Amino acid sequence: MTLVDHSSVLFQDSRFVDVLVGARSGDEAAFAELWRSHNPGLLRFLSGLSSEDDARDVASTVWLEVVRTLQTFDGDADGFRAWIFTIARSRLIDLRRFRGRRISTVDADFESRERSDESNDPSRLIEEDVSTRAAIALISKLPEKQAEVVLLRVIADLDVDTVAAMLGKSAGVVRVLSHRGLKRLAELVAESGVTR
Amino acid sequence: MSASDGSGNDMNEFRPTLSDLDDNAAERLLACQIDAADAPPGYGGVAEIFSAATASATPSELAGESDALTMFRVHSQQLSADAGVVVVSLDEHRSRRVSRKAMLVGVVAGVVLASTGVAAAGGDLPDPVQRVAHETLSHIGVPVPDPQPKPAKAPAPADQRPNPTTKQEPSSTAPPTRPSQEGNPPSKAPRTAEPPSTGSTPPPVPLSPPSSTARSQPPTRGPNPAPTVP
Repeated sequence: MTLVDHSSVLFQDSRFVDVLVGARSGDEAAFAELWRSHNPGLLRFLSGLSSEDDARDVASTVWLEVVRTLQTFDGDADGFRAWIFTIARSRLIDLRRFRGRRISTVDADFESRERSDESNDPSRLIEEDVSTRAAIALISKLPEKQAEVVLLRVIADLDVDTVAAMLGKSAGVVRVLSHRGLKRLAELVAESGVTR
Repeated sequence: MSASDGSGNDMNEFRPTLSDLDDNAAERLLACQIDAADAPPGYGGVAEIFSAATASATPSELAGESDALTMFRVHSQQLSADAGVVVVSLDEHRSRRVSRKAMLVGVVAGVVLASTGVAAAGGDLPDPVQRVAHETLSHIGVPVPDPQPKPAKAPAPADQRPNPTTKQEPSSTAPPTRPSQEGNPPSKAPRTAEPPSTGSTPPPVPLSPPSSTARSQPPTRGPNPAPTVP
């Protein structure tokens, strides 16, 4: 198992500035680079909080909003990630409101939330290699706030303060959620047998 | 916030039973900086899960690139079209400004012409101007008083030519000469009326009757042009 190098997937600031300027000026190649670098993370984050179908729908609305408001964004690579994941979270909340589901921002027990995509059930993936889908499916079994924090920290590679600002919570609460999520995830891994 | 949401009501509620997972180890796990073999006991699987969760993009995750690019292209074209609309709007605004300016000039010119016409009808214009108004407007049937009847022109015999050796004295009967060009100083015309008292009076206006050739010449510009009939 090799360590994950986020820099190979996400942008460094020096490269990001060039790509952002190009995308703002209408360069399709620059926008494609932005999309390829961030869309997988968006889908994984959204899949960890909803079904895969909803994740794709929400991701499409995120990129539509990014395209419309890209001229107004001013920040570095970290800021861009925080921006698009904030949009993604907001659009997911909108989708749930539209469908009358519970919203992640209210205080509720999210452990019983339903997942319509049964293909992400970790038990069905035991015989497979530990794939990205299986990993996201396992994280999605966490209580939603824990899952949200873990996904934002791991998938979006956002720091504690940024996640705290996104969720409207203190950095201490985010750290608590992270610790609890890690502990619960270790238990889920052991229970599912997906990994050793 | 209920305890069941996983966050806990306060920090004291959180008892890190994972004594081997301190903040530093947790941060390194979340940053995918710990290999499964080096992870704290019981967290190797978590490290594997995080590694898989941050693996390279799969083909299905990149399948929508063409749709995204189409959306980007359409939006860029829309931006360009909107920019064109802005330019057209500026042109329209500019043309409206020009139209307003032309309208203002027309109104001022109309007022000047009307007031000049009233003054000419009352005989209140300076004599040279009054004479021009009289001669011009009389052709279209508008009665304007003549300040002083123009002396009758004495046609010279065809064979009578001026002697270049003889100095010609100005004569009130000689037809005035018209300035050949605007930049040249006008030839001095004989005055038949008292000159104005101020030095800022306009240059003498030619008193020749209007003719087809005279109309074809460009009008002279001066600080106080003679009224014209539209």
